[in-house]
Amino acid sequence: MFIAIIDDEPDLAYLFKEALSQIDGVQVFAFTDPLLALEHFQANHQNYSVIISDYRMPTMTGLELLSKIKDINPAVTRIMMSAFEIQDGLFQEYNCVDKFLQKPILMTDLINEVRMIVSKVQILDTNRIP
Amino acid sequence: MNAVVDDGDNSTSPNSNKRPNEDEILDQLLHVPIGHHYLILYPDLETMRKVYASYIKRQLEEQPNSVVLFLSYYDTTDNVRLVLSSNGVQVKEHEKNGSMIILDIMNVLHNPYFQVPDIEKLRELARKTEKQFGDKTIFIIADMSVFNHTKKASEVLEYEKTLHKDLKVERWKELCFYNKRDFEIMFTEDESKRLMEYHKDKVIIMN
Repeated sequence: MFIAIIDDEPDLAYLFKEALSQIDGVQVFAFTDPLLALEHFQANHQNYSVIISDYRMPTMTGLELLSKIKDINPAVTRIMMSAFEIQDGLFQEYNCVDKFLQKPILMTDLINEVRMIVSKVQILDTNRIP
Repeated sequence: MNAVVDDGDNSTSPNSNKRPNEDEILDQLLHVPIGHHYLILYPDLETMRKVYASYIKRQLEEQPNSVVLFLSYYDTTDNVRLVLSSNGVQVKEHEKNGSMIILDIMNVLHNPYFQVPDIEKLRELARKTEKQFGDKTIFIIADMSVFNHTKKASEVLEYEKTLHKDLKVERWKELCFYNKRDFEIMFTEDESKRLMEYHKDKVIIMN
């Protein structure tokens, strides 16, 4: 099961990747470039369960990215995180965010959040009729 | 940090120009004459931080009778304060005595207090700041990458084109920073060339 973390700050992307890699059964990919993340997602979307994106990033905002992610595979859980306030209107306009996390984020909170989503997906996968 | 100064040949190619070091860039920014503005393309946030932290520190040391107006986009205002403090800038003191104003550029653009559309709010803010601080010189540092996200490239083109003209008689100078990749997305090749033409020797492209 794939998880992607997208943050234009390399140090943060690396930290998040390390933290999320503690979750059993997942492979975490970290990207500093939303376009590269999108490319990877496009090629591997069936393996993805969660995408976590920063909001303000060069080339495209996290909302634009998550909106494209939703278009490709709406079943993937999309989490937005930001140190900035985001206008409600923007969330409504894009309608692509399942969960918003305000930075700074406690790593334990992020891990718990993602672990919960991963567990749900694993249960669904186990019960899926072949 | 490596950097390239465009010497007016309208080329943005890093390989076709001389490569000044960090001190040379800083020196160039410090000597931007009043009434002028520079266009600076930066590759990543870390590089921009180095430049603005060194520039603001030196600017306030060398011209204490000035006001630095910093409009940040990718950095939160708190992080800007942290970066500046780490570089030896007395942020609290400067903010208290009015010689430094740090704002999120998005908040300026969304501020209903300014009765002008979008990008004109930047000009309005500069005018109001100048008026408020009397005979002080206003140094504006703005991360214009925001306009890639707000999809206002044509307005930015117009703003950049008229900025030199409008600034002539006033006591302010402006450093317009753009993330390189946002810049490439915002403008077509032709628009990018036109922007370089407006700025002539006032373009710095950092690697």
